[in-house]
Amino acid sequence: MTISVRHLTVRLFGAGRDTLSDITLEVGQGERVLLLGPSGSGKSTLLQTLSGGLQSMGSAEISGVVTVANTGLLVQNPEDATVADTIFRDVAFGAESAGMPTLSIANLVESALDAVGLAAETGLSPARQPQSLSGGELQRVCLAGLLTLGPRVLLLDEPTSALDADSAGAVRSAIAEYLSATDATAVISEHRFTPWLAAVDRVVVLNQRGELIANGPHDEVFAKHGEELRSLGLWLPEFETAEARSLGVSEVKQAGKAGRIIAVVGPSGSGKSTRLNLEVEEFLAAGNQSTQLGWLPQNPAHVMGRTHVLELVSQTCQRSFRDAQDALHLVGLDDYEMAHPTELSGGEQRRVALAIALLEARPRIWLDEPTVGLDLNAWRSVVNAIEQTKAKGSIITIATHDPQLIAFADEVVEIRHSPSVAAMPESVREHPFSPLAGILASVLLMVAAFLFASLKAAMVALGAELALAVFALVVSPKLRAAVSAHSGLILPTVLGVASVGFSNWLLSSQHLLEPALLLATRTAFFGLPSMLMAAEVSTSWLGDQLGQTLRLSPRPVVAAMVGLNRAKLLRNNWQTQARIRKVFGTAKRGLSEIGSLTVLSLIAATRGAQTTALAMENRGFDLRDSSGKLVRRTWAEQARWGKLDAALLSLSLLVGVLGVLWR
Amino acid sequence: MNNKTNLFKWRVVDLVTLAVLSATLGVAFWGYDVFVWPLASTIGVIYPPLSELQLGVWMIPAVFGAVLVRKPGAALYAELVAATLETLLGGNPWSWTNLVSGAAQAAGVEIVFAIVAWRSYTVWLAAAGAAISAVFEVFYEYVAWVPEYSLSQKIVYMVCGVVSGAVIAGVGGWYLVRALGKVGAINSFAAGREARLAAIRETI
Repeated sequence: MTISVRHLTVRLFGAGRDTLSDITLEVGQGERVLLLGPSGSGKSTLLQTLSGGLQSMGSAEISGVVTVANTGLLVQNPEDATVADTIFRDVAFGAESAGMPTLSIANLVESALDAVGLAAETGLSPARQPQSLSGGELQRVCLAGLLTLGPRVLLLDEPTSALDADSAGAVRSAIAEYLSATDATAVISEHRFTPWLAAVDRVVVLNQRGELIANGPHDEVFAKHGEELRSLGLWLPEFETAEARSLGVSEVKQAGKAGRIIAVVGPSGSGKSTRLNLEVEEFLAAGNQSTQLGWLPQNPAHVMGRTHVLELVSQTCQRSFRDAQDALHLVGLDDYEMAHPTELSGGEQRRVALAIALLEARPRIWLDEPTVGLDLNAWRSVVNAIEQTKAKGSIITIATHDPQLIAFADEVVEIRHSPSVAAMPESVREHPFSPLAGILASVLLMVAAFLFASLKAAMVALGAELALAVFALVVSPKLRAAVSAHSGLILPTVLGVASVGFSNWLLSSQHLLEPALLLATRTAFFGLPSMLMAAEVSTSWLGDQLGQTLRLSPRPVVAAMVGLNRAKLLRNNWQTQARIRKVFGTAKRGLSEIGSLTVLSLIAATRGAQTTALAMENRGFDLRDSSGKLVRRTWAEQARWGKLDAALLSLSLLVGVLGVLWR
Repeated sequence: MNNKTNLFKWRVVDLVTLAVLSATLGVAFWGYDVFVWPLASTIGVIYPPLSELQLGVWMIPAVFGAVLVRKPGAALYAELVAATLETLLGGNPWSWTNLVSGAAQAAGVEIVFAIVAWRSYTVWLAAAGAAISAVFEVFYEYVAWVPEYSLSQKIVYMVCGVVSGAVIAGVGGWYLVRALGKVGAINSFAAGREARLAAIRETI
C-alpha cells in the first residue's frame, strides 16, 4: 500500500469539533482516488495530513497511524506556493533540495515544464516572474515544481477550481499524463469533479463531520448513496448538466423596479477582474458614495479585518449584529459568526465578503467569481442571495466562469484574451552590478571610512568617489536607469549626513568643527554609494552568491530570499487593501490608517508564509537522507559574477585606500 | 500537541514565516527611514539625543523573532533579514552598517532568553532583552555615529536608547506577536496558540 491510514482523527487548533473523525483508508500503488465532500468536511486537512505538512505545523491534535510513500502536495493557492523569482528557479527548487548536480537540473526542469505543457516552444520564457502568469499557467508551474522530485503519491487540493474550462482542461491533462507515464498514486479533491471521473479508479466521500461514508467505484457509490450525497451538496454529474434553475434556486417576485444581472465572461487572465475594478472606480469617480455600492473583490482575503466574522460584517456595513446575522444566514454561514476570518478557508472567506457585498441590496454591485470553490448547498444559498438582491432592484455585475451561474444573467459580456499578461516584464530588471559586488564594495568603503585620519583625507576620498560615480552614471545608461528610479531617496541620505555632522558639533564638549565635519564626510563617503546599489535585486542571483560564493548555510539563505520575494509583493497587497478600504468607506485617516494597513499586511504575509512553508516542505526543503541528516542543497545556476563587478570592487578599494593613506 | 521540540532544530515553517515577516518589517523600516525618520530627526535638531528615542523601532524584529519562534538565533536572523532588505531598498544613510546594528540589536535579546534557557517568554524578559540590546547598539553608535558627544550627552543618549528599546521593541514587539496570535494568524507557533487560546477564553 502506498497510503495506509488507520483510525485517523484530527482536531484543528481552536476548533470545537474534530475535523477528521476516525478515518481508515488504504490506497494501492498506481491507484487514482477522487476525494469528495462538502465545504468544511476536512478534504484539505486530510491531504495535508497525508503530505505530513499538518504534523510539522503543530497546529492540530492528531491521533491514529498514517503511513505514506513520498508525496507531493499541490496546495490550493498557487500564488503562495511560488518560492523563487523566476519560473526556472521555481521549478528547479525541488531538484536543488534533493541535491542534484547543477548540470542535470536544467534538463529536469525542461522536461517537467514540457510535461505540463509549458515547454519553451509555447513561447513561455523560464526567466519570467511566476507572478506574471495567469492562474492556469501558475498552477501548472507549481505542478512542474512537484514533478521534478518524482513523487510516488500526488496529492491535489482543488487543482482546477479557480480556472476557466480551457485552463482546467490543460491542468487535468498535464496531471493525467504524469500519472500514466509513472504509475504514481493520486488523491484529488475537487468540488466540480465531474470531468475527473473518467480518470479515477474510485471515489472516497467525507461528510460534514469529517467521517468517511463511502469508498468505491463512482457509479456504485453514486447509486448506493445517491440520496445522502445529494443532501451533502456534492456536485454530482446530474447537476452539472441540469437546467440551472432546477438546482434549488427559488423564483423571487420582482418588487418594484427590476434589477439586472450582467455576467462578464472570458478565459482566466483575460482581464475580467481588471474590468470590474475599473467599473467600481468609475462609479465612485462619478460622484457616487461608497454606501451606494457593494463589491466582492478578486481576493476576498483583502476584505477581512482584525475582528471576528460577525463584527467584521456589521462594522464594514455599519449595521447591527442582527442585520449581519441575517446576511451571514443568507450565504449559509450561520455557524461561523464567532470564527476569525484568518481561520476560514478561502471559500468561506469569499462567502463572508459576499455577505458584506449583498447586505443592503445597494444600487450597484460587483462580484468577482462569487461561486468558486463552493459545494452545491453553498452555491444554492449564494445564488439565491444574488437573485433576492436583484429582485430588490440592484444592478449586479458578475465576473465568472461558472456556466450554471451564467445561466442566471440577463446580459452576458464576453471579454477576449487581452495581451496584458504577455506584456508583463520578463524578469527582474538586471542591475549592472551583481548584488554581492554591491554589498562587498559598500563594506570596503565602510571599513576604509572608519580609518580616515583627517578631514582633508576624507574630503579627498569623497571627491574621488563622487567623480567616479558621475563618470559611471555618464557611461552606463543601465546604471542611470536604475538610479533615477530611486532618485527621491537621496534626500533622507543627505539629511542623515547633515544630522551626524550637526549633532556631533552641537553636543561635543569643545564645539570643534573639524571632527564633526570628518564624521559627516565619512558618512557621506559610504552612505552615498548605496544609492548606486539601490535597485530591485534579483533574489536568485543574491541567493546564489551568498550560498555559493560566501558559502553561507543554504537553508537560511534560501528562506531569506523567499522572504525578500514575498516582500516585493507587499506593495501590491498594500495598495489593493488600501483601495478596498477606501471603496468600503472603512479607511481611517493618516497614521492610524497606516497602522491598520501595516497590521493587515503582517496578517496577510503570515498567512501566505505558512502556505509557502508547506509548499517548500513538499518540494523537499526539509529532505533528509536515511540517517536523518539534511540533504545538502545544490544550486540550479552557478553564482554569476557580473562584468563590471571587478571594476566596482577595485575602484572602491582605490578610493578607500586613497583616503586611508592621504596625509 | 507536541511541545517537545528540539531547541536547535528549526522547522521549515519557523524559518520561512520568520523570513517573510522580517522582510515585511524591513519594508516597514524602509518606509520609516524615508518618510518618518528625516522629519523626526529634523525636529530632533532642538536636542539631538531625543532622536535616539526612535531606536526601538529598528529593534522590533529581534523581540518579535525571539518571542515567535522561541529558538536560539531567531532574534539575530530576524534582524539580519530586516536590515538586508532595508539596505537593499536604499534611502538611508547607514548603508550596510545596518547589518552591524542588526547584530547588536539582536545580541541583548539573544542573551536574555539564553539565560532563562529559552523556557520563558514574558513581556518583562522581552523588555529586558531589548534594553540590553539597546546598550550594545548605543555603544556601537558611540564609536560610529556620535564619538564627539560629551560624556553627559552620551549618558542622555544611552538613557533615551534604552528606554526606547525596552518600550517600543520590548513591549511593542511582544504585543505584536500577541496581536497576530489573537486573530489566529500564527497557529503553527506555540506563542500564537497561547495567544489564541487566551483570546477564545476572553470571548467565552
